[in-house]
Amino acid sequence: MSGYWPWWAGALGLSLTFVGFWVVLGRPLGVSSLLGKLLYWKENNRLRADDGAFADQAALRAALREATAAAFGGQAEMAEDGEDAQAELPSVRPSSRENLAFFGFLTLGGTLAALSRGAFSPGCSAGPEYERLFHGSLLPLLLGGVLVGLGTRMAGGCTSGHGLNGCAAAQPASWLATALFFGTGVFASFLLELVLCH
Amino acid sequence: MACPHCSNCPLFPLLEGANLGIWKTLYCDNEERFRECERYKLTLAGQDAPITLLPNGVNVSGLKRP
Repeated sequence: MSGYWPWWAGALGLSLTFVGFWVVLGRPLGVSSLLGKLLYWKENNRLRADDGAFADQAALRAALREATAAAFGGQAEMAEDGEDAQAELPSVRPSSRENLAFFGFLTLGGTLAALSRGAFSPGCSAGPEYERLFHGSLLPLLLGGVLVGLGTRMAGGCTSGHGLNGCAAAQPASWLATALFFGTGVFASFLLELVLCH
Repeated sequence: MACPHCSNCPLFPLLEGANLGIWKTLYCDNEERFRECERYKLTLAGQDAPITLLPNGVNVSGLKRP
């Protein structure tokens, strides 16, 4: 039996998680973004306080309209928003406690999934192919992590933010980002296969 | 190509309508200018942009409070 769930169960689980996150919390789920907010929790708390300056979306939009009119003068009309603007301000910044809960349940979910397939085996090895290529050195792993972090920061999202949210929201930049990182992944896999076979 | 940070930008969904939509036209959807957005620059530098920061660098948090 494979250590992974069937592809359709994984797809269903991911869809439910992302749609559920949007429906319940009213914001898109981006794992790298949440990790950044968790690591920079002081900055996140300061920004949460700034966001709290406006009680609702209507107050924020009124201030945005005022600043827009000041910036563009006659080009921007001071049009009033419709009823949708009276909604509460979207909760865009999770608290540190919410962030910790998210990553705790992310780990728990992965552990339970592995247990359900009888594939739970904690260890420090990155796999036999990695050992064969790099002889157990952690440096390539560290370098890979740094490059992934850098790319995520430059592109404004990772596989979850662009691949699942951005693509579903029909954002052209997310389509391009997803095509690039999946394409690079496939290319790197073939390259490694070639190196491993010779 | 629009700004790649749109999908994670909390302000982007609010920039709708005849008035606020001008920001999208001038920055978010503008291939030439999205790199000039102060929100984009801030997130590229590893910082989170407050929802009150407009693309031109004006922070509306000091303009009006309920």
